Amino acid sequence: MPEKPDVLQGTLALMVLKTLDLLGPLHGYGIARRIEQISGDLLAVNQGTLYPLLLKLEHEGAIASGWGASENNRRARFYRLTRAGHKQLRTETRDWEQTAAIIARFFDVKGEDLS
Amino acid sequence: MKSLQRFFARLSNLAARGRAHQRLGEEMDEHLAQQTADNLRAGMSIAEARRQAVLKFGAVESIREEYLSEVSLPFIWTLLQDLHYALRQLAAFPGFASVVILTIALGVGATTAIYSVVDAVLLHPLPYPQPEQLVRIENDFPGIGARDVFLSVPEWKDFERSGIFQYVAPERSGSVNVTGSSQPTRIQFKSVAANYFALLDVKPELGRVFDPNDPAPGFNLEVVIGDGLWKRDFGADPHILGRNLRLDNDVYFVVGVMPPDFHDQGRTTEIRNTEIWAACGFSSLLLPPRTRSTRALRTAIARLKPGLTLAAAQSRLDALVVALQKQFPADYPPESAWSVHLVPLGETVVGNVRQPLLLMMGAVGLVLLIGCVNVANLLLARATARGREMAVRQALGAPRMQLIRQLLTESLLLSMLGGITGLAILFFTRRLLLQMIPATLPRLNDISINWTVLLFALGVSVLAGVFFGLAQALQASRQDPIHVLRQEGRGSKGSKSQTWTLSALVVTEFALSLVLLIAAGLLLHSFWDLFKVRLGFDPE
Repeated sequence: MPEKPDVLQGTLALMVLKTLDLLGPLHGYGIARRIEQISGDLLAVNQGTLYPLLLKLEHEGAIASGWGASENNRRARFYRLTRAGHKQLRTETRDWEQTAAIIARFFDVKGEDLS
Repeated sequence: MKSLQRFFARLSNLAARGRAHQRLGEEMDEHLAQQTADNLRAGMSIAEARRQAVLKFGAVESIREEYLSEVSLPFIWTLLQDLHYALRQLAAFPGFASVVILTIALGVGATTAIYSVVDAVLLHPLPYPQPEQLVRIENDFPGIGARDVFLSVPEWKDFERSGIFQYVAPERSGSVNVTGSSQPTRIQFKSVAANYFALLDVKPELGRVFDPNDPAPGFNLEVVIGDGLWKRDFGADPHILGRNLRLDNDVYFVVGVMPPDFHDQGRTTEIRNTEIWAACGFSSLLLPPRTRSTRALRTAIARLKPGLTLAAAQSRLDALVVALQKQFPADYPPESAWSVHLVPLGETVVGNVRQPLLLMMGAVGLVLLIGCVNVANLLLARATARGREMAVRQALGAPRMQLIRQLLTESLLLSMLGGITGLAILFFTRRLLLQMIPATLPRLNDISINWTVLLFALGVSVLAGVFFGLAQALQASRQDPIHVLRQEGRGSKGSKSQTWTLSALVVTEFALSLVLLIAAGLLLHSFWDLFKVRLGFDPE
């Protein structure tokens, strides 16, 4: 079985924000599950690492949390995006797209273009 | 901005560590339960579903550590831990701890004591508002070898009109026989220009000071008296205002009493202890004539216009001097090379005590340094004894940084305790110490243990702690645990580098003591020279 790539530092936060943006309030397990699904099971998220990150995002004010009931009627902590989180998501998406575009251009360049 | 928000969130969580523990636990339970349920649905056996869920979650301990360090500020926790451990260490060796604390207390106490004098005398020499504007006017004729000569009345008026100064006030000091109080006394007296108190910008505690625009050409028969005289000779009589006082043969009446914290400025202790001031226009017919070359005004002080620097004022004054020389060539012949200097008033007050004070400061600084080297020696000796403990901790995986931090915390704790002890001793003996200071020191009554002095003591303690802790910490960071464990197991002495550090410290200590000895010798020598100054007559 080939090694699944680790999630780059910082990109996990972006994924969490995007997931919450798409799906609304979710509990920790839900977020981990969605990230796995969306990335097509190509990413191995050590699910536990999500929780320190969620706490950090909460401290930064990007997300907020509160108790709610999960699908199987257990008490679970739900996370939702705040207004500041929306803003952060927008700027980070733009930054990410810019970086991706630059990298893509580097790959598109052929030898004769530069001569 | 974001990191600041995070910092405050973590700060407010400092007390909530237990709750965070619980929160993570709940999240984990919930997470694992859901993952197990999903795994069961995928067709695994119960045991396997649970196992896979835990595997997928990752290493719980490292996650918990990361989580908890995110909850609050980890360095505060480690600091508290280090402090706790350091206190236990000190309590385990009370003899060692008390020797170190007393050594540091002596050093910090002595340095702080001298610093409190330096703070009052050198750093705050003038107890008046905006002291940097106050200058003394020095009249020189270097061409004929005359320095700091008296001022004449027309010159005074010229300076007042020049636009450089807010006020210019000549003064003359002397002493007078005072009768009219409980008993006749001889009191230090100053005749000053009517704007004198306005210039110093001080208010009386009772009555009023002189009107700065008083046009009287001579003495206007009003006097202001000092708080000491008022309490001593008049029993702090609240009806003192308007009372008659006979100074030598003339009758004056009291218009004001200065507050107890007012001290006059001047070059000698006697002048600084002036207790009666009379306003004088220095221009009456009874006084010497008002020509330019009749120099009767002993000293003049002035307050610069606000916003004017000393250098700017000096250059404008130089221009004025040149203009006056052209206008009155008979009074200021070119060969006399008349010039006028502005000297910061603080310097004339501090004058000759600056050097001895700085020397004293250096001496106590050396005492502190020697104390530090001694303590460093003691700590190193103990580090040899604790080498095994350190080696075991290192072998068990304690990072080097943590050991160094631990040792530094210990030495900082020691130096802080020493500093506090020193300050306490200083605080309880301050009256006794103040009596040992010669009464001729300016601003003697203003020496106090204030915030600056406390801050100084704190800074010195921290520096001392870092200084003597560093040797030990460096030593610990260099040692090789395997080597130590083997050696200590066989009961041999410390390693080569340890011996080297110890001897280096002894050499430093010896050198410092020598410097201190020389400095003390020089100080004594200059005092001895002062005693031997020829008086010009035979005192016997």
